Amino acid sequence: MGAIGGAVMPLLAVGGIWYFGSPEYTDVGYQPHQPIPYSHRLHAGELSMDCRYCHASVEVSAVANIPPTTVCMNCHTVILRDSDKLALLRESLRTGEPIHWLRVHKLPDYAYFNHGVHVRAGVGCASCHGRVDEMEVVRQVEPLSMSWCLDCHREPARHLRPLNQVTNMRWSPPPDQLEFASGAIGDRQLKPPTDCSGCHR
Amino acid sequence: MRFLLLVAALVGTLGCVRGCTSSRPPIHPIPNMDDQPRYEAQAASDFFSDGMTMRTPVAGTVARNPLPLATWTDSRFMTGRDAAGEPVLTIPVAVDDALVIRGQDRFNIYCLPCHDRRGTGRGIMFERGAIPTTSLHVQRIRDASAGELFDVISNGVGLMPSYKYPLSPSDRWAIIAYVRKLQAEHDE
Repeated sequence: MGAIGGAVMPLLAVGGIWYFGSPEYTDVGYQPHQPIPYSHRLHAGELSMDCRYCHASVEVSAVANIPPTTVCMNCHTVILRDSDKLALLRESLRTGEPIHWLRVHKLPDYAYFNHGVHVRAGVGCASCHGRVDEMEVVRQVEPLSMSWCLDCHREPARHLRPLNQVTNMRWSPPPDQLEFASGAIGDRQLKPPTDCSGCHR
Repeated sequence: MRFLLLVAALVGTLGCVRGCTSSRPPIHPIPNMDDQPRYEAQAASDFFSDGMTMRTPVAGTVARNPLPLATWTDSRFMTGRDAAGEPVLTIPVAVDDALVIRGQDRFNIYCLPCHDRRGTGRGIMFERGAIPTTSLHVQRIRDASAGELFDVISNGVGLMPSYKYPLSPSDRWAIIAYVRKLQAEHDE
């Protein structure tokens, strides 16, 4: 019994750490309660607003910005102007105190991800963030682990899109996707780094 | 078999299998240096008195603009007004296919929600809130000079807010070039 236990216990420990310690367990499914019941399903899905209407810096900056209160108020000074759900938003506009939105997708601080580079390369938003247009409240659906990043850096073909389809949530790969992608990799001179310093500086 | 039992036991304890939804922040059993004592973009700060990590530029700050000096000091380009303060009549940059395509791209992000894909003014605000939205095909807009349209995009008018933050001056001119194309193609 002791010998069997001695052999099996390490396996259990390793298996347990693998299962419960991986980002697939620890991070996927994170869906924080946000201070305002904002619906991506309504805005990005039903109303088909482009991601960049609010996340305007995503093409040129490393960071995809959370929109300032004024962007919400572009419409909500008129639409639902007395809604209780938006009371916090009106207060934010009056006081200048930002809405304390909770961050959903967070990479380790030693990974230097750049949104702009990926958007300009033609990687769709949905490749990493999932079908945000179907989420009432945004939830992390991909592990954002290093091996997951490398899967795409080694084989980017499935995720490359025409540059005007990057934010299209309803896009699906055409039958000649691999052919298109090999052309795009050449045209856009894409060399997804797989060396350490590509992401860790 | 035992592994599965362990998983079952832990799932029972932790109440969750891989991928299930939780509003609790992720816990990393091995924290490595995932969270370092540094400020992130748009994060809260306990150092600055306004509580914000990102600082607003002091008044009078001049942007280190990637455009050539002659371009961003050109008032016609940057403000749509000539030296006398009058709106310029035509777009002060070369209008080519690339500019119109860029304009279409930006129009469909920032203008389409209210003005509709063809500029008819039957967008979200009109359809869902019955808010009158100007059609870009009415004679008043067709007759407006490029500088006047630039001023509206930059500073807003009536219910329309300013779009100068998401749209650089060159993008605003690109949108005006695309609006002219829409006006020429559709008569409504």
